[in-house]
Amino acid sequence: MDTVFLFPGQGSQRHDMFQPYQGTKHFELIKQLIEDALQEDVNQYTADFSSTRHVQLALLIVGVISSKQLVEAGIRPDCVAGHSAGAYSAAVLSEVLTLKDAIRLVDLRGRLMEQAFPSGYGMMAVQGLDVNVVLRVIESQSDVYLANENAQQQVVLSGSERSLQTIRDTLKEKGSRRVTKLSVTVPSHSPLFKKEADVLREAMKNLKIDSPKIPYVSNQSARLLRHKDAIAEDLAGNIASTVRWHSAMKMLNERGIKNYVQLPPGTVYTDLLHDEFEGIQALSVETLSVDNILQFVTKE
Amino acid sequence: MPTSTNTRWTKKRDAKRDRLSRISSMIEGKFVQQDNIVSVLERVIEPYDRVILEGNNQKQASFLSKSLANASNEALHHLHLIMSSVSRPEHLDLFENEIADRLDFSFSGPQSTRIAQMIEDEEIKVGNIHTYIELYGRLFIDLIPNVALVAADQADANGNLYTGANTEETPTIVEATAFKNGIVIAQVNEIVDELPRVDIPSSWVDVIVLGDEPYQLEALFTRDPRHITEIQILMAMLAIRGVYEKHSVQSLNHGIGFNTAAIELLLPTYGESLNLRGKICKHWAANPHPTLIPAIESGWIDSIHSFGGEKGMEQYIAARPDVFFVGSDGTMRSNRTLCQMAGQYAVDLFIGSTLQMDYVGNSSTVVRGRLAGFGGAPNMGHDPKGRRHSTKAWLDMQKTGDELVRGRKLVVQMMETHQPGNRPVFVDQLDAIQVAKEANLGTPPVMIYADDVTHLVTEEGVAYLYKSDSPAERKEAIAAVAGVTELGMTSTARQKHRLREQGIIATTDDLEIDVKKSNRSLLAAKSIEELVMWSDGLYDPPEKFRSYWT
Repeated sequence: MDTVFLFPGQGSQRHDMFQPYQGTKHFELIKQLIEDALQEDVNQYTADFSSTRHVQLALLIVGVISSKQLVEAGIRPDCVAGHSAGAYSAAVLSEVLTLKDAIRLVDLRGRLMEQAFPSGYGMMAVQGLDVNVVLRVIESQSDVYLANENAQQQVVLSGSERSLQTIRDTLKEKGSRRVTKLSVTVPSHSPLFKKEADVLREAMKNLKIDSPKIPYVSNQSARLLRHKDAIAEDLAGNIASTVRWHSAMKMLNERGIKNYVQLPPGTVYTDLLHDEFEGIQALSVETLSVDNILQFVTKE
Repeated sequence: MPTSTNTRWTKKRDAKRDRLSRISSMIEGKFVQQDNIVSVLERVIEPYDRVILEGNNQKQASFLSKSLANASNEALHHLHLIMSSVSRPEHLDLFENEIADRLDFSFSGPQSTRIAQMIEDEEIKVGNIHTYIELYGRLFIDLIPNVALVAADQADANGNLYTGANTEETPTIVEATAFKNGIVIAQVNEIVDELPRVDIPSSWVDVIVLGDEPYQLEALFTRDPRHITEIQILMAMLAIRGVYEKHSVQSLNHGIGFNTAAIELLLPTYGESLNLRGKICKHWAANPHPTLIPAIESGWIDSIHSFGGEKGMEQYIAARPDVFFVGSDGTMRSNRTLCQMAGQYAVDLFIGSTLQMDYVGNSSTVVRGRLAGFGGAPNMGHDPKGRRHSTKAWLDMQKTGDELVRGRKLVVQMMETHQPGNRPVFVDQLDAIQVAKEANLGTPPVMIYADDVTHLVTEEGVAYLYKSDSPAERKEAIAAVAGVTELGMTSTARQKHRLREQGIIATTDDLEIDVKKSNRSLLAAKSIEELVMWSDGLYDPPEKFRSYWT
């Protein structure tokens, strides 16, 4: 195993993220698919990010197109990992989901998230404090949860705004370098989304789920999954549980993965990897050309 | 009169003959072709066999482990693997691919996340997690291998092996297997007409294969002096003055790490200024750390016996046979088992870094979600009750008024009180206890038990824990050197004063250490280049340590 594709989740979106793909055959195809399925113009997704559904669909579009381009250029991943909503793009590339079904699921996921928790909840990023210290702090609150474990010293919490506010000072006292409230109103990746995860599970029962052509990295358990049922469960359930990104990257590193290719938009995940592991290549499509990436991953 | 049972006493020998006969068409003398190795393994190994795969933290039988992972799980399944270190991806692929299902091991640092996951998922049934020497011990008692897969540098046409500087655990593994009718398979880097010397005689070896590339070898004990911090230098001064000098420590073990590298590089400077040459640090159980070169060159060190070699140190060691253990051919010989035993019984002091200590002094390097095992630290980091020879340092640790005049080994823990991410260093309960519950381990993975720890060195001072049996007083002593941690904040000025008066703790003032001098100019070598200069150009650092060269 040498190469993994990393698909970004929410937070990486940018208004110009479609720009490099406009007019390509993949973009036209997916644009048409979405018009047929959802009767919407895709350009409205990147125009208005106040809707999480827009953001997630935009990430799916760019994730799918950019990864297909890499594969066509001859860069084949040995496994795929998507962060939160990015997992749906990963599932499309590994052929667990058809693109059409992925569009419907992400649309549903976005709607469910928008309908839930209209106010009083949120998320907060904590930097520069060890994840185990953060865990000890949140133990004191019944409605604060670890949403993302992005790095050993970079996590995101979900929960009620009141409780997040309560522990803010404690986290600072314990030595956190930065505590930032995220501009979202939903407590993603927490058990508060159990009901929504169940709706997604039901929806997936009616879809044809295929065995993965490429092993898939689980958000919930940081394991490498090779069975379609386990992947379907990860896709449906990740909304209600911690994204164990850091453990997943560590697991991939221990498996001997050397090339970590981040699909657009952004470079968040390659930046994290540069800080954490030695002797790897963390390559982002956004800053390198497809040709350069091909050179990097095929060199001995 | 006993009844005749017709017992056959040669079942194992017969079985070995039978197994080897299955590869008779593929073997010439002891040699098999590289391309045939998977099929050789599939024929001589049987399901449920105990297979010991050579691999510690430095040297790996990497061609054989890759080949075993390529075997079919119809031919080979339910293997019981024994490994001192789980460190390569395929070591765990063997379990994922259902070739092996049981594991007894010692260290798993490089695979700590994945092994924790696989144990939790019950993909691996763990017998026990050992220290090196107890795992080696069990190879002769109740974990006798059916097959050993080992690595050597060279073989001659007769099948003798040369393992040289990286002999490490090869003789132990081979001995446990060969003399109990197991099968020994060796990968070699090259086949030569004449060996420099014989490290493993041919009659102990059954099958030899030329590896596809040289076995994996890590330069694990090389520390670039550029990365040594001023806090580490201060702690090194505290250790030299407050522990080594105070107790006249003549024999010792140093492990991996910048804390001990700093001590090594301070001997020819700070140590010299205290006039300690010839009085401390003469005899070592340690790997040939490049950072020992300045101390060797300035005449501090009489002898070093080593667990393994160190990449780049070969020529230097060959040129210093008075210090290192070197064969008649002029190259070094290491031996992991014997050096661990020496480090357990024959040295006055063990010093190691730790990440977490509880209030009475138990310590652990365990982090949640990871399972790194032990390696050799607990072997050397404890007081062996079977010791009977005495030295000044050992006798210094005896309890006052003990008519039996029983000394103790010095077990020193070094710890910076501030860790990255403000990870708590002093805790009321070690994470190891929670980890044991999560991973279903019978015993929490404690690296050094409190009753073995004699000293704690932090940047705040030295706590002489051996002077107190009372848990309350030990906690006070730890708190007094715990800096601005939660525990440290509980220490009052009055307590500190009393502990200093009683000699239970010592600060830089008490030890007359000039803190202003604790800067990098005190290092005998400040870079890899300077180590090369000290060695007269004999040290040849691996590529990755040359990256800053101009």
